[in-house]
Amino acid sequence: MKLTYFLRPEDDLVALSKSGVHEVLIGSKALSRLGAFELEQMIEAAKKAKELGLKATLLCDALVSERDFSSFKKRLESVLPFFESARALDPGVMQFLFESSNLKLQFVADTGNHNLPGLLAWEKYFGERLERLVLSIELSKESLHHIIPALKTPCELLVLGRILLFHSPRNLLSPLAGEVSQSDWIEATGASEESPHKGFPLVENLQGSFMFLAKDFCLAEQIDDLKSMGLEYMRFDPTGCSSDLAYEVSSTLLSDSPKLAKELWPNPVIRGFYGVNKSDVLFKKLKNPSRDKTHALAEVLDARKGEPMTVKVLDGSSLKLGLAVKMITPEGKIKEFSISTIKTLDGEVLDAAPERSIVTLQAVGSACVKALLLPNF
Amino acid sequence: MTKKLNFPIPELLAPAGSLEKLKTAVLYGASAVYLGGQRYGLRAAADNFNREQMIMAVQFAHAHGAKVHVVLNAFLHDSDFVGLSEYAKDLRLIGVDSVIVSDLGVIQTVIAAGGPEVHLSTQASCLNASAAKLWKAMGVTRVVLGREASLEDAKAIKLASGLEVEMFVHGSMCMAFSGHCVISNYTQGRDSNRGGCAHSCRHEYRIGLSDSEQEKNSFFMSSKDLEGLRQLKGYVDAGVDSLKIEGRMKSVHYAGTVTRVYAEALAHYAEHGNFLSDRLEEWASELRKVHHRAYTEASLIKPADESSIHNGRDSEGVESAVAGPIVALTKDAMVIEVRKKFRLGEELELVPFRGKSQTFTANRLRTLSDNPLEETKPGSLVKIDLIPGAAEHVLVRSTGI
Repeated sequence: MKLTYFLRPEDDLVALSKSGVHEVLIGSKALSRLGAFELEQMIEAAKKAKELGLKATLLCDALVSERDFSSFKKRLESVLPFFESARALDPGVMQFLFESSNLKLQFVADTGNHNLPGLLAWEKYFGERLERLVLSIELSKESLHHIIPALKTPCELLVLGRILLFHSPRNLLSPLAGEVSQSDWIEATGASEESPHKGFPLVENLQGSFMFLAKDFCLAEQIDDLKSMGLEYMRFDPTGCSSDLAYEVSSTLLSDSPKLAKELWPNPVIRGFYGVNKSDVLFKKLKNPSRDKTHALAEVLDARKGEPMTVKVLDGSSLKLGLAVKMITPEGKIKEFSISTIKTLDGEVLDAAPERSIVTLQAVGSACVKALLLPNF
Repeated sequence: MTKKLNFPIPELLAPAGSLEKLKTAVLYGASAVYLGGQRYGLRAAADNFNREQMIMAVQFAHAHGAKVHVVLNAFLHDSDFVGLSEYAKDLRLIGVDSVIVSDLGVIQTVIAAGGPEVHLSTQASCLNASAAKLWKAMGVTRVVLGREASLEDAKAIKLASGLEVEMFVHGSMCMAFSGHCVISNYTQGRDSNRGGCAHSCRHEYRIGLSDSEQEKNSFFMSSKDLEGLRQLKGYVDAGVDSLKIEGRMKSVHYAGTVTRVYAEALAHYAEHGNFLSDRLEEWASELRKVHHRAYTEASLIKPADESSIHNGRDSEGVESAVAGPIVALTKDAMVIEVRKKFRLGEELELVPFRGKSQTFTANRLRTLSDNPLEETKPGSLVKIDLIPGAAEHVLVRSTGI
């Protein structure tokens, strides 16, 4: 597997080339979400990287509004000649590069690209120009096993670095920063009132505001797994560690004992959803099972002690005299009874009530609003 | 543009979190509604529509000249695709007018299955004409622009892409680029892009700036709500095809009131070719009677700035005044499902589907068994003597805010 490195202005390209890094991602403040280079500085870095035999890839992963697109394009066009490959996230930037350049393209298919049909469609659309798909760290091991071999395009995955949680185009820190707000790069940490979440790194720059997880993502111990899946590129984002340590970590990730990189890393780490992604299993708990209307006949709209109970007959259902029903309150309390009285709201006696009608039944103890009536077989 | 009028107006697209809300929105003037089925959407905690309810929704909406758009806007993993093709085919069979999708895999699947036409969800954060062109090539017929887009952006995107353009006109907003927030995934184990958003952006945070020893408490990630009422001319001039109201999880009162305001404003434009109505302040006042955070025009004209941050709890600035909707009529009474307590003798307001509200006094309150009441209690049904204009789904409000 080859190592792709997120380059910072303070990093030494000579040292990186010696550490075995294959590719550097060079991002500027103007064109990328978190790149810290100025445009001229970025061009110089690209030239030097090439001289050293490193692949230099232009990181232009900003999300770009129409109002900014024209100026973005101009800046982008001014640096394209210095690169052979470009990496984008915004489909509009990808489309522009596809139509207006000859560069090889790398698509950041992270948030929202978690399935093979979608990834195959990107592959088909960009065809031979697509050099790489950057996969999402939300994909589980099982999904990666399924997806990577099915794609013709080489894939890349983050193996060590920050987990981006949130990106807003708005400036959210400068209103709090006072004098510091004149800076084009503000850093902070945030602690949520949702205990125990604290220590979220925050950044505000020209591209808006970002929040990261307090723990970093690390698959150093899973690199053999990733190789066996056919993953061709692993990415290392060294933010949060010194350059010297970053070179050592890079070498270690490429060594026969890549798992040692985890021990070198100064921050706490997690594997995220690599083992399994069960981030949808809690959904059923969001719903009260006592409020599941799938099999319900009617819903109680009004209930007062000693007075007839008013119900609305649900769509596709009906009630009739003598029907045995089971009433379930929102708290899950169950009461069984048979329908002995059905009346319209004007007091007219009925034998049955059709769907969507509002009728009164006899008084039933413990009845309450929003209780459901189900058939009692 | 959907209606053939003197001055064509955009579609007014209202949220329908339930059949009741759908009927309310349509009766109050929505020309289209959007709703979620039991799967593939982003509101996992909502009741959502089963097949029978969806059929009824389509029948009701179409009978009133309104379209039905179904949201399939979750970002799916491979295992979530089970049944999607059949579901898409069935939606077409039912008569659903379009599906709102954010995931390219879902777009491909719906198109391959011969499902309804596909609108690109705001979750895909389509922000520029170049992206719109790409999505058009992928088969979508309409883009719901990211909320970061301005009205000028919308005009340019529509012209350059030839696609229909839909924009939000009212309601809550993500602070993040839509689809680019996964806080819930990592802090709550709930995938925000598959329906599990925990609204972490609405919480208070203690912020420690790197260059300062001082910490500040702030709701720095919470956005004010969008209100586009005073920019409606801009929407029309930009050629925006559909004005979307956010809020499937919000109340019947919200669905009815907000829809009514924008429907009346658009009706005024359809007749006069302008929004210079002497009712503008009344409409703005109506929008303050529903649950809301402080309002902002966000990025409609210029990029949203510091003033668009809602640095406070949700409940601040709320002026809810609903007494309840009319759920039935008897020979001599309207039956109200009480949402907020009111008392005998209190002044109430009947909000008709069209036209000015009508004030009346609750001079007789009864239970459904005709026992007299002094005051009502939320969640109960009460009878109030019938007055002209009363109809099922009409809202009744208390005037004392």
